[in-house]
Parts: sequence; structure tokens; C-alpha cells
Amino acid sequence: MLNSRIHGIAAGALAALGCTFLLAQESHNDAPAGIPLKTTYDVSSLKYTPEERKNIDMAVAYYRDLVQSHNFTLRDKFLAPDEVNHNPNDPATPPGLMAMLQSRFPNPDPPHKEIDPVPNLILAKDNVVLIMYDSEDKDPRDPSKTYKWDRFEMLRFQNGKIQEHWDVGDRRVNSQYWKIEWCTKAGRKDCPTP
Amino acid sequence: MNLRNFKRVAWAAVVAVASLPALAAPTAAEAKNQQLVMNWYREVVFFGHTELASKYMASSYIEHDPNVGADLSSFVKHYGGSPKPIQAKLLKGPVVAFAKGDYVTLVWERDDKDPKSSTPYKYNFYDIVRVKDGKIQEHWNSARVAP
Repeated sequence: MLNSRIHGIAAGALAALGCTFLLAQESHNDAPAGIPLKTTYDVSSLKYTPEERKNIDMAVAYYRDLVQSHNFTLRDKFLAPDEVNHNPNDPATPPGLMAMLQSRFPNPDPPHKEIDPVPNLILAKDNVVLIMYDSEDKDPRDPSKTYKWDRFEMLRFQNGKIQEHWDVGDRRVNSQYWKIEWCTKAGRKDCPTP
Repeated sequence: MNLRNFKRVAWAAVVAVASLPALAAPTAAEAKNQQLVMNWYREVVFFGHTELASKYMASSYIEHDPNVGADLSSFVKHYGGSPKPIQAKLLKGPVVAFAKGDYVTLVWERDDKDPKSSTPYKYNFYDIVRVKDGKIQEHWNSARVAP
């Protein structure tokens, strides 16, 4: 979900500075080695096959190197040409998605060293990788308070590329109308129906 | 429509686990966990039979849905009160379901209408459940606090 991505990117400098510390301080003792995870959850049961590890690494690299580093020239490294995006606010095609992101972030960052924020749970099964982020937002009923919720990104891999993507985008509490408005204004043919 | 009823209506279509994409067969333990979670959803969450909560859920259960409360008693209070006859199947299953280690993942596709234009669209909702020693220990989902 781009709003959350933007939020994460905005917090990037702070998180980058504290990343190593957080990983050292908050990683669960039984977290699978080498997977960026900041969690207190019991992940001791998670054992991955080499294929699942490869897919996790690819998912992390996609968010770190392309989405968060704003390096949209990496599109074909990660996304299949006919990748399916289930976010109801996004353009339907990879070129549309990249154009939308580029409109928001016209210049690439230096390559980020770590996915940011660090996921709180990563689950992988065969060719599917699900990433969960513990999030915090203002309580809409009382803006002086916050509440915690969980955000998800899920990817399906095929032939080494992302073939399908799901997230929490909707047109209510997770609405992203700026995306639809951008796409319509750009005159693209891959826009979601407003 | 309050959130609880919205959830029930949204899940009203559910019946079987129609896992898409197809994933390799889980281990015996993972299959058992996944079946436990599906039965829990159907009987306790969807049809509201919270008197069965202790059959599925640990007494130390941890709930992460910000609308429910953090423990088992909060869960029972939230989902209880208006049980409906338990059906053998749900009308529409999750679009993706898999078990890995102690975790079971369910991803649902829901139908909605754009509140501005009334255009029908689909979105996804997520549930993650951790099972240990035959009981549900912990649950996360993608629920937000609605305005």
C-alpha cells in the first residue's frame, strides 16, 4: 500500500540509523537466520525450503531496492510483464504502477541497505510470501490516541518474478484516491474504475 | 452495520477453502492446524458460537484486532451474543490459505462498493493465526478502527 510505503520511506532515515540496533535488540531468538525480522512473536516453528528462502529474499529486495529506493528501472528484474496487482486503487499493469510511483518519487534514492520498516512477520509457503507489519495510527474516534493494527503485503512468484500482488488497499479506511485521480489525469488505459 | 456484522456479511459467502494459487500439500501437523483454524472460523467467528471457544482457543489467547480487545474474554464478548445455526460449510472460502509451521494464513477477497461512486470493487482481508499444542494461541488480521 503506497500510503504506508510513503510513510515508511519518510521514516527511513531514522529507521536506517536504528535498524541494526533494533535487529539486535528485538529479533526473536528463534527467528530464521538471515531474514530481516523485528519481532517478539514466536517464530521458532518457521523453517523454509531453499525455494521459499529465495522467494523471501526476492520479496525483500523488491521493496528495498525498487519501491523504497525509488529505482523504478528495476521493474523487469522483479515484475513479470503480466503481473496482476489486486490493490483496487492501483493501475493494472507494471508500467502503470511504476509510472504512478515515479510521479510521486521522480528521483531515485541511493540504494537502501535494509527494508524499511523491518517486517514483524514473514511467512512463505512454496511460491507465496506474506509480509506483516505492525502499524500504529491515530484513532479516528479520538485523534489524541493511537491504536495498533497490522498491514500486509503478499506476493506470488513464478519463474523468478513477481506474478501477483495483494495488499490491504481498499476504498474506505485504506483508501488511496490520489492513485485513481493520478491515473485518470494521466490518461492511462490501465486505470481502476473510479 | 457495525463491524462485527459487516465481518459476518463479508464472510457470509464462505464455504470451503478454495486455495488459489494451489500450494503444495502441508505437513500433517500443518494440515491439522489449518483444519482447526477453518473449523474455528466457521463455528466460533462466523456463526458466533463462542461457547465453543475453549474447544479451539488457549486460555492465554492473544488477540491483535484493534476492535476486539487483547484476550479471550474480550474475544468472546465481541463475537458472542447472537449465534446462528452452524452450517457444514461456508459459502465462499479464502482465496489463499496456507499453513507454515505454527502459523495459518487466510486471505479473503471481499466485495464492496466505492463509497463515492458506488462502483463495485474487490479488496483483500487477512487473517493470521498461530496454533500450538492443538489450540489457537494468537490472531492477527488487517482490521482497522473505522471512523
